[in-house]
Formats: sequence, structure tokens, C-alpha cells
Amino acid sequence: MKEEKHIIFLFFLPSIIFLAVLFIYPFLYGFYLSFTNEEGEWTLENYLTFFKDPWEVRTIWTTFKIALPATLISILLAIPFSYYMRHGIKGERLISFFLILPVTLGTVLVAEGMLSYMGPAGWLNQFLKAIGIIKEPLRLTHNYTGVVLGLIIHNFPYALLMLLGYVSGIDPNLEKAAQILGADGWYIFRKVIFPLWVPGIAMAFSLNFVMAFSVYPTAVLLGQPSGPTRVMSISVFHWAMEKFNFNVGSAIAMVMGLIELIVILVVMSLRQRMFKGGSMVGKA
Amino acid sequence: MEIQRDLHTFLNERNGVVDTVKDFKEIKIKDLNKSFGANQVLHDFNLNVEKGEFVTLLGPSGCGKSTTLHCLAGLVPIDSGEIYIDNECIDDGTKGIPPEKRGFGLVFQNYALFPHLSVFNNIAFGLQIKRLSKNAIKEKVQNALKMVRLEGYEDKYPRQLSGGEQQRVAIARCIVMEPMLMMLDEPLSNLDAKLRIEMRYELKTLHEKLHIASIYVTHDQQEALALSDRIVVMKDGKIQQIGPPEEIYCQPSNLFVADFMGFRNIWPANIKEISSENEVVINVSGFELTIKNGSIKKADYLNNLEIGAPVFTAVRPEDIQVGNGPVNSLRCKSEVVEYLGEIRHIGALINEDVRIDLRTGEAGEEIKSDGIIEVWIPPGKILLFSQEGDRIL
Repeated sequence: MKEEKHIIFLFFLPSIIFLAVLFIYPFLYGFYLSFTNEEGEWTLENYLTFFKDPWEVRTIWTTFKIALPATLISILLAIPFSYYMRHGIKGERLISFFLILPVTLGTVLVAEGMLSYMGPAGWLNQFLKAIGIIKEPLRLTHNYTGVVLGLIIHNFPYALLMLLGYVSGIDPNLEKAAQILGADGWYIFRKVIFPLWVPGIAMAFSLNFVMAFSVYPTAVLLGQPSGPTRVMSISVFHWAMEKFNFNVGSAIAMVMGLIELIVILVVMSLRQRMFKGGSMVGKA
Repeated sequence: MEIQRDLHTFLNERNGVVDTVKDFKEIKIKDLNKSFGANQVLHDFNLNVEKGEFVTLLGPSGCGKSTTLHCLAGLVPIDSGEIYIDNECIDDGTKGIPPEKRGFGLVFQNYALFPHLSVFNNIAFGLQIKRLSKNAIKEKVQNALKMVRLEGYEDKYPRQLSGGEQQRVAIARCIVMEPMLMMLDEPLSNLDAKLRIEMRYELKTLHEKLHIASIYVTHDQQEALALSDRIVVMKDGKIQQIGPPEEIYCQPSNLFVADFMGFRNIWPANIKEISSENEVVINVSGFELTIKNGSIKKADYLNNLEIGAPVFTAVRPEDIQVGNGPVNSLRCKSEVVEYLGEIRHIGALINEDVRIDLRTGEAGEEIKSDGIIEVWIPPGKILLFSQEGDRIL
């Protein structure tokens, strides 16, 4: 019996080593760096550097202003789409292909594409001007709007696929049962599907928010990294890779992680409040 | 029963609950057809269900029983045919009343309880949509819980209940709506054997009390026999036979029904002699059987049969007698003896080609496997079918 346990542990060992080397050690090292100075002495100086400088502290607000709307819009857009697709629809594979395409191309390529497509002389503005909706080209790149749009385009597929996976796992008989009991489509959505979907939505929201909050390439390429879209990760990069001060960089990264953790905890407690029945979602 | 029904109505009136059961005489399904792609699952299905009647759709899986329920409920559009409540057509394949307006109830095989709602809210779900007053809802839910003997379970959640309790909640959720027709889709198949028999008994009691017209779907012949006023035996989307349990059990109209209802000994044979219009001698490979059975008279058919014509014959294991008999005596070599408590089930060989299944009571005690047994089959207990499977005698 005891020997068996040892063997089971051996099976886990590769993944434990993997996690330790690639996640736990770097995190703990960053944590250590953030509380020490270049001489290796314990200090709070790094955190004070960040919090004393209004220009740096402002990045928190800037990041929120970008990440929150981008996440909310992605999720709110993905909810109706995935609800419609929950029992499978025609051409689902094609749709999935187009959804996964931007993910596979990577952030930079998508951002480059958007720059030329949505830029002042891009197709979009040319088209809108041609049909007479606008006179002056819309400013959709190198500003706040550009970053939010870029994030939505990048994160929407993730949101949709996560929500779809969850909602299609809800027993379709529940809908039928509700319908026979007299419920119409909107009632079924409000009283049956949505409450059961809340855990999935909370999960998708949290993951999407974390992705959006730690945005870097999109904010640099589609935004104004020196001003209105100077997000926290840019600040981290600035300190670590331009000023070569890994200690302050680590401290900012720790603040970032803490904020993300707090947001996830808030979302999870909201979820708990909305959903009391346990997470039993079974297929027929 | 009539008195109990009146009591129910009386209680409802006293409690200020309006009885919402629409008065009707029968629900009629006419020439229903349904295909999924190239696969036709229902062929010209016809059935009438009277108010208060308990009808069972019985058949192997994939025979179209559940599809019939879903068509009736309006969850699945029908290809052609009509569904009537008395003279009012509720579905004719082009425009059907949506499920939420039909006033039918459906109990699902997996219960389909709302996992996020308490037992009370599960049962009250439909009443809340009807916008009944809070007091009326409470009253009705309490009554329904009493009916299924789950008083005090209001605040529990489905995941806290056992399979049997979940089943009761599902039934309560259905009957609380006082549906015109209650449909049950294999409701007992997820329960263990003991609980299944208990719930079967309770379903029967409930039906005796409430007299809601019911259509029950199962593949279990015991359940069908125990519960039904009428049984509809189905195969490949076609009705094989409709009749009261006794008739289905004793007088199957074709070979499929006979097989399904426990005629385990089915042998191909040839006509040897037609003695009269209810007496025939047949030749099963290597031995003869005399059949004397007057319950189904197909004189025309019988007279047209030639000597030597291929037929099928069927006998129940429990109708085979051990010992020496006046006719149809056979010697067989037992292969397997299964002890089943009150009875023993014996599988034996009459000759190399013919296997015989029989059951014995006390007499079976000394039968060992590999022993020789003398048996005989009463001529009145043997059924005769044409080569196509239609019943002749």
C-alpha cells in the first residue's frame, strides 16, 4: 500500500518539477526581488518608488480602464453567441476555425493587421468615407479605443469558447422540462440557463480579465504606450528592461498580481452569492 | 376511486384552489409520422388515450417510444399526422401549439430537476409562471409533496436527495400542474431493483388517486403489466399490438410480441396435419407437437395452409410441465440449472438443434445438469405463427 503511494508520487514528479521550475521558482524569486535592493538587503523601497510616483500609480487606473471594458464587452458579446450555439449549429466548425485563427496568428500579427485595416487611411475609414457616413477619418488606432478593440478581438474567441464549453454541458432536458412547465425562451434563459451558467461566466470573466489586465503587445502596438495607454505591464518593462532595475519591476509585477487576485476573489464571491445550488450540471 | 376523486376536488375547492384540469374525453393521435433524416422512427402511429387511462408504450430501445412522447409534448416537430384533444387539433405537422401551452406534463428519465432550485421552487416553477398567488402556490406545493410523501423536503436541493427522492420531486413537479396528460419517460430505469418495485407501487397508487391520463414509456414488461390499463407494444416505430395487459401477455398477436412477453421457446416448424379449425399437428425438427388452441380463429388462413408449410411455434417456459403427460411428451437433456428461489430455470436440449427453456417448482429439486428430464407441453399452451410472424392459433 505504502509502496503504491510512492509509485503514484513518481508519476506526479515530472509535472511537479515542471511547475516548480517554470512557475513557483520564478514567482518566489520575483517576490524576493521585490522586497530587496540591488545589494540584496530587505527593503520596502521598491514599492515606495512605485506608489510615491503619481505617474506610476496612474498605470493602475489606466490598466483598469482598458481591461474592464474590454473584458465586459467580450463576455457580453460572447454570451448571446454561445447561447445560440449551445446545441450545435450548422457550420460550427467553420465558425470555430475563424474564431481560433486570430489566436493562432498571435497578438502582434493581429495588431499589425488592425493597424492597416483601421488606420486613418485604412479600408474601414475609406469605406465609411465613401458611403458618406463620416467626413473625417475615425481615430481607431494609436489610442485608447485601439487597445480596447484589439483586446476584444483577441479575447473574444477565448470568452466564446469557454462559455460555449460550459453552457453546452448543461443538461438540455432542463430546458425541455421548463418549457413543458410553461416557460418561454426568455424565462428559461433567466431562470434556468443563466443561474446554472454563472460559474462558467465567472470563470471566463476572471481568465479574460487577467489576460486583459496583463496586456502588453496590444497596448504598445495599437495604443500610445507613453501616455493614455501606459498600462502596468509597460511600466514593469520600463523598469526592468530599460532601467535594468529588476527590483522595482518585480514590485510592480507583484502589485499587478495582487490586483488580479483581488478582482478574481470579488468575482468568485459574487458568483457564490448568485448561485446556491451547487455546481451539479449533468448530461442526460 | 370516484369518491377519492371527489375528495380531491373538494379539498381543492375548500382551499380556494381552482381546479384547472380542462375537461376532455380523449387525446387522439392520428397517423403520426416522424423521421430523423433518412431514419423513419414512427410509422402511421395511431392511439387514443381516454381521460383517466394509463397507457404504456412498451418496446426495445430505439423503437420510437420516447419520440412519441416528445412529439406529443411538442418538443419535436411532427412530419405528418394529427394530434387532437377531443375535436381540437393541437398539432398537424404545420402549426402546432407550443409545448408550454399544451397543458401536458412530462417526467424525464434523468428527472431533469433544476439543480439550482430547492425542492419547493422546483415544484413551484410552473405555478410561478402561471402567476398564482403565493398562498395558492404554497398550498399546491404542499399537497403535491404530500402526494409523493416528501413532506418537509421543501428546502432541500436536488443534489441532497437520493435517486428515488429526486424521482418523487419530478413527479410532484408534474402533477402539481394538474396536466391533462402526464407522460413518463422510463421514470424508473435509473433506480435499483428494490426501489423500482416500490416506486412502481406508488405510481399505481398515485394514479388510482388522481386519475390523470398517463402515457408511460418503458422497456420492462413487468412494469408495463403491473401499471397499465392498456399496453401498446412497439417495434421499429410501428405498433405491434394494443390491448389490456392480460391480452398482451396471453394472446400476443405476432411473434415479436410473443418473444417480448416471455415466450422464450420459439421454434421453426412445419405443418403436419390440420385436424380441425383449432387443432393442428406440427413437426418441429425431430419431434411432433399437437396444438389445440381456440382463442384466435383464423380458419381461412389455416385452411389455405398446405401440409408441410413453414410456421413458427412459441411456448412459455412456465407452461412446460415436468413428468409424463398425455400428449406432447418430450425427453430432453438439461444443460443449465439456475436456482431462482421459488423456481428453477432449466435450459435443456431436446436434440442437437432444439433448445428448450423450462421452469420448475419443487419438482425441479432433483434435476441436475446433464440429467435426462421428461416433460410435456399442454396443447392449449402452444401458440402458432405464420412464417411472417402473424398469429394463427
